[in-house]
Amino acid sequence: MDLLTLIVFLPALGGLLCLFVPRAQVRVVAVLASLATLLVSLLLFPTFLGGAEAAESIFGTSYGKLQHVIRLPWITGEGFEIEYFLGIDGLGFPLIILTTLVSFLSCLASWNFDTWKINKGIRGYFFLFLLLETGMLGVFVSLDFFLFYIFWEVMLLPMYFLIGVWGGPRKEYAAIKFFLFTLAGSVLMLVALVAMYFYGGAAIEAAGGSVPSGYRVTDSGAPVAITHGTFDLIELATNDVIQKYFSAKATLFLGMRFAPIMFMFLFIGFAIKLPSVPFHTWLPDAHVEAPTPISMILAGVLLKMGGYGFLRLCYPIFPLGGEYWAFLLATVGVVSILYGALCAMAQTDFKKLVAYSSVSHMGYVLLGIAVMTPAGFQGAMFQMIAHGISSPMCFFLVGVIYDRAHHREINRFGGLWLTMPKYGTMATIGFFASLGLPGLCGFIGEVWVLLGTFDAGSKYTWAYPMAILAAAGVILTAGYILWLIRRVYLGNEREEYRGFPDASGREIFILVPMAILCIALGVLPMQTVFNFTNGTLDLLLAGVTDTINAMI
Amino acid sequence: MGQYTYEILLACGVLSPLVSFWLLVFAGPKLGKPAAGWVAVVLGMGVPLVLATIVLIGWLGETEGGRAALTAGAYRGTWAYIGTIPVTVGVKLDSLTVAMFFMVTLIAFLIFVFSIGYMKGHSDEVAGKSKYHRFFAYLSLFGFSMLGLVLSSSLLFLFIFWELVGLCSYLLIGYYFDKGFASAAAMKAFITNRVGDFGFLIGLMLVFMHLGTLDLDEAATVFAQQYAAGTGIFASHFTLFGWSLATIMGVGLFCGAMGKSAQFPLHVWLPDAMAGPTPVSALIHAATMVAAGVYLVARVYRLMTPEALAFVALIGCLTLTLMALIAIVQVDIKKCLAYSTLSQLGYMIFAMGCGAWIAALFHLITHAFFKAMLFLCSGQVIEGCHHEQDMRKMGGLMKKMPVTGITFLVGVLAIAGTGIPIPGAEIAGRKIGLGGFFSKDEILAVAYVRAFEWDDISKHEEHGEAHGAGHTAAPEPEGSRAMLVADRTQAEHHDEHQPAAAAHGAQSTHDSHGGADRAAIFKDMKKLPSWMFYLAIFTAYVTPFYMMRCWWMTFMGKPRDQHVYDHAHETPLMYVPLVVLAIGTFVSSYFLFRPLIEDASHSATSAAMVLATDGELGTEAIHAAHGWLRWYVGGAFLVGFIVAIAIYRNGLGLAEQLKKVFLPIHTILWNKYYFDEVYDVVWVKGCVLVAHIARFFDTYFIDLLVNLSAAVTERIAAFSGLVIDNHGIDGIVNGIAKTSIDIGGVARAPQTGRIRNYVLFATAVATVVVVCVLAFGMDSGSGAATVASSVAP
Amino acid sequence: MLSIGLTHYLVVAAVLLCTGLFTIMTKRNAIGILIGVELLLNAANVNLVAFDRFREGGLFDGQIMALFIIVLAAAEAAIAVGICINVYKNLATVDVDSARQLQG
Repeated sequence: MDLLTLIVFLPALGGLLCLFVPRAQVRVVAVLASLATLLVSLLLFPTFLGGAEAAESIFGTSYGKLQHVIRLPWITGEGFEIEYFLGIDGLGFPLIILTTLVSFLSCLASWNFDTWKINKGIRGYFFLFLLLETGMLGVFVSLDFFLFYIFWEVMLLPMYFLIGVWGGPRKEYAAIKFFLFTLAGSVLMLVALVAMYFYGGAAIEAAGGSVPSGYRVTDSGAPVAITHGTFDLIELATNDVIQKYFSAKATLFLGMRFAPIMFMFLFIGFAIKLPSVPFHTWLPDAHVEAPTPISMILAGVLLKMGGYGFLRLCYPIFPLGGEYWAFLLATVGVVSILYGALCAMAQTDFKKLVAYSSVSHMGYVLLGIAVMTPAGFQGAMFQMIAHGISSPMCFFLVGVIYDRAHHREINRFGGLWLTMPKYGTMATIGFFASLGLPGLCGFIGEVWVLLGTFDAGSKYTWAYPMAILAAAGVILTAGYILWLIRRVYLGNEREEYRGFPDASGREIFILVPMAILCIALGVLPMQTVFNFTNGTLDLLLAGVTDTINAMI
Repeated sequence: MGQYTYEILLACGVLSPLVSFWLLVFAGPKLGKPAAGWVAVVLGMGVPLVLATIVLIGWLGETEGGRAALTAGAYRGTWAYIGTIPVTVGVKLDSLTVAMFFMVTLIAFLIFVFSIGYMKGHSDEVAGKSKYHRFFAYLSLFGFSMLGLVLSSSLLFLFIFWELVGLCSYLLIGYYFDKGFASAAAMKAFITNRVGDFGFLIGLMLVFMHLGTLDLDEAATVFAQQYAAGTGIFASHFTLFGWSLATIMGVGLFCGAMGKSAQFPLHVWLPDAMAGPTPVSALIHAATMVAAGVYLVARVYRLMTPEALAFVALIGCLTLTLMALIAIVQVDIKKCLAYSTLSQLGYMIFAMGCGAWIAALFHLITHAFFKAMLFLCSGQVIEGCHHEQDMRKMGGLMKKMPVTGITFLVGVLAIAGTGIPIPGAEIAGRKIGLGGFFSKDEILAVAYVRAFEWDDISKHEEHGEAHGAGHTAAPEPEGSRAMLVADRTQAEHHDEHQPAAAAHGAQSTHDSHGGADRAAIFKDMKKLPSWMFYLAIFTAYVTPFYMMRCWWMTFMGKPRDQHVYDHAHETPLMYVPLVVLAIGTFVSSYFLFRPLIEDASHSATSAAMVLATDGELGTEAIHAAHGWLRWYVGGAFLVGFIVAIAIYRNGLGLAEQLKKVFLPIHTILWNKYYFDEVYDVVWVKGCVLVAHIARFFDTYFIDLLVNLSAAVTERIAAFSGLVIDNHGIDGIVNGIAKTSIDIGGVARAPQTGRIRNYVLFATAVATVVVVCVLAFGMDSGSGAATVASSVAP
Repeated sequence: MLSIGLTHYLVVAAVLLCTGLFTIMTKRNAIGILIGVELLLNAANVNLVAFDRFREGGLFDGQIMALFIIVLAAAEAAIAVGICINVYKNLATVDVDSARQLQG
């Protein structure tokens, strides 16, 4: 059995099993299924053992050198072939580990399902939950655009129901908002999918009907011949003929130049997911209404799909679009950073504040990618992983207190560090990681992105003010997080919360791994993330830069 | 000692407090009240102090060349890559590091010990719950961060530890977090520091981009090369407020120092930070962390342009004056000391800006000793007086707390710059005086030269440089070289009287860039505005006044509050550190630290301008300045003391009258120039207002658009559903159905259900058909005929 | 001597047909109608047999069809009487006009 296939479908199998076991055992099965997925996904590590050099040589030799590749024909017809094509490289690998980890922890966070306000349908809940995990994992491993799209949609529906059924008072509104926003992005992606297939086919047609593959070789070492349009993401990115055709001035789509317009289509789809201003308003609503574990998943993994999409689709396939829209994208990133932080500052709902902080933090991802510098790409990737750890932690921290107080009004809290010392300590770590304190994970991503942005000043003059504005974001971030800590955790104890029990064993068990990772990522960024990602990112950036330079 | 020995000892010294921190975090509650504290004392600071002492002794035994080799060969490892540029983690090993390391560990150790005494009572309780282990855990973490900061060889690591000491400061200021003002002060401290860090980050970005490295030494080398070649950061024509990019870089880095060292206009957090426990104020907010800003400037000195240094001097000058004036009216003993700290930090920064690198660091170290001592004394007083901090309620405590009173007086004398300025009054060739006497004196001397004699000297330098470029070691007239331009070459050619030009000539043979660039950048330095010098001198008179006022109000005169007076007592465990610090103030600073810093200046400031003045180093001009200055500075403490005693000798009566006379001025000072109020309105309220606008915009505009588009879609859907679908497409379908029904209705009529009718109908139809066939159907007709014919017989 | 020709047979058959039709149209009693139907069938039989007799090269297929019709008529009568009995059971009459439940 192929490892990646196992990882992807193990949760779904567990989910099916959930439907048939006695009610009392459902959560056990679900937790075991997600734990098994986590453990299996850790088996991917041996591929990269051997330190920085080994990882470099694996991911660094060529963008196409993927690991754990499985490639089977799936839907084949006249002139097209949709493949079951899975594989990982430096982009997918850390995100897979992140997904399985966050899923496991949030599955554990669902352990007290019976005490929720809406505790009907435990089977359905865990089934959908695990189906969601399958969808997310599928997105990160599929290298066939069609398959990618299918997993993208597979992930959408469980989320809709998880928010819409088990959510808070305005769950229907939030769920439909989430669904429609994402769907709007999917539609544009679908257009791009079809267009890329046909335009790719046209490129090959124009080149004589058969071109050598950009990265695949037969056993004898000769490149595989490509005779028709393809959904293979790596092929689209590495095939010279297709790349030239895509970025040529004469290639038009609806009267506009192909690469920028396609880039924009994909960008909007992913920017909604990221989410960046102005496509972000689904996020606070979804977070506020979603149950705690779902918020964790949403913040920890779903948002990363946006960033992953940029790095996997937009930039490698349409580098010219990146160049064309760089200013716009960076502006959107900076606005997200500042605007998200400002909005967070004005919130009175604890969870909404954390949700807006996500908007702010993901702005760094967009900014780092938009400027197309090595440090920017690295920082963006790191920021995704780091945010994927710190933000679920923050959401869980909110959940813990919500379970006890049954409200989330920041101004009604106070002195919780005295009432619940262990919880307070964990909260300090979580929120300081989010604040970007050096030594914790949030710092690395921000600094790398800022330096990367500034470094782009040699290409784009506007990068200087962008970097400075983004750096001003660190003040705002410190402002709203410290103000939050002061209002919720500091101050004197309040009478109504005096009897609250400190964090339980289960809650500590969920928080500790995230706290450890927050510190580990902050202290050893190279060993924890960069060694796995940098090779791929460098190649990717080199490809992007080459294409751009060739076109100018 | 070998290279590795130094590095390992120093690294262990940094990591030991970290071990202590984790130990206290996990096992702290089990260890209980005194044990947790002693863990911090022994593991957290005792071990580093021992290691630092070993390092110091070893270092003092090294030769000049040996030290240079150790500095050059210090460990550098790659921590991570930013893009393709490596970020190194390593040990910055030079005399400054050794001196700072020793100073920090020594003072911190004493304060840790003091803390155990301070926390003995109920001072460790937060809202009635003991957080004893937490306090010492934070202190240990601070020890780790501060020592890491001192040891960092890379700007990024400097920044990392920089933020970590900020975190510790935040946690410790907010130690009594049940108190609203404490948590507010903690937040204020952190955010104000973040504002400074914003500038630091910009500086860091410029360094990263234009110098292509974050290592301090490499950055300095690249900076010098770029200056010489006019490339990189010097190639840019970008200016802001008339500052070149290189200047912006220096100012940006200095902004970090402004935050941490609480320089005007980011000074607002430090007085509030006194909400923390007093040992914390002594350690973090007087001796070590706030001085980190000065240390940072010292470390990035080689990246500073003359314009950037002018800005540094300006900020320092404003701080030292404005804060000293506020200190005059303070009645809270800790606040008074806090403003004095601000003023002294201003002196250090001002010295840095003037080019008195050595004097600034020297003042940093002397100040650390006496200010830590002063704060500990105030802690003793506060603890003894049942947490009373208002000096108006004290008085006459000398009888109750003699040791504290005397050590406090030592501190007052030291900060006032007490010494004997009379020529000839020397012991072992040195002037007699306390720490501040030497350090402040030197700062003022350099400032004087920069303000009044600079044009002559810089002209000379230019001249000398011309000679140097031609490798002619032409001797300059003795007495003209007032300033020592220190660099590594000079450390090797340790001939103090060698003319500048010769030094430059020698330099150029060793280093293709250093000398000439340094001299060129040195030449760019402008004359210091004379008002800065006057302000600094003026403040030298104010300082003794407010310090003596503080001491007199607390310890002398008659007790003003009997309750406080009755309660007052001393704790023996707490005055041991006081005595040690008092001795340190007396002896160590001048004899130990001044030479070390001077030594550090050779390597740490190569390719930049350092002005040093000292009895041994200076020449005629500086001696002249120094000579008469010494009278002014030396006289200052006497004047200040006498005025203070004259006013406060008989209680507060006279002071009250003076207050009435100078009421407007008093009001302004009392309200700290309204900085807090203005910041609150402009920044805090402004930011929150903008935040609310953003939120409003988000909820009522962006979301409105989203909901509106949803509503519009819904309308369109409704329209298409009701109008087009129901009346159009559905109309056709339903129309067909309706017609069918109508037809059916008509067709239904004959269906009577009576068999007779059916039969009749069938018969009739059959008849009609037959008739028709017979009548009109030709074929059927002929068919019938055929049948007929065929059946014919 | 009057030879009996085809015409005579056809006339008899026509009389029978008309009688049957008349019976069906006038009778309200189901049994009566059944008898009328039998008359119609027999009219058809007479015609079939007569045409077969007077056709050249007759192969007795007319007679065979007549035999079929007789058998079918018997079966039909049995079914029809069964229906009548059931109708009577339900409605206590065999008046066809009263059995109108199935009218649309």
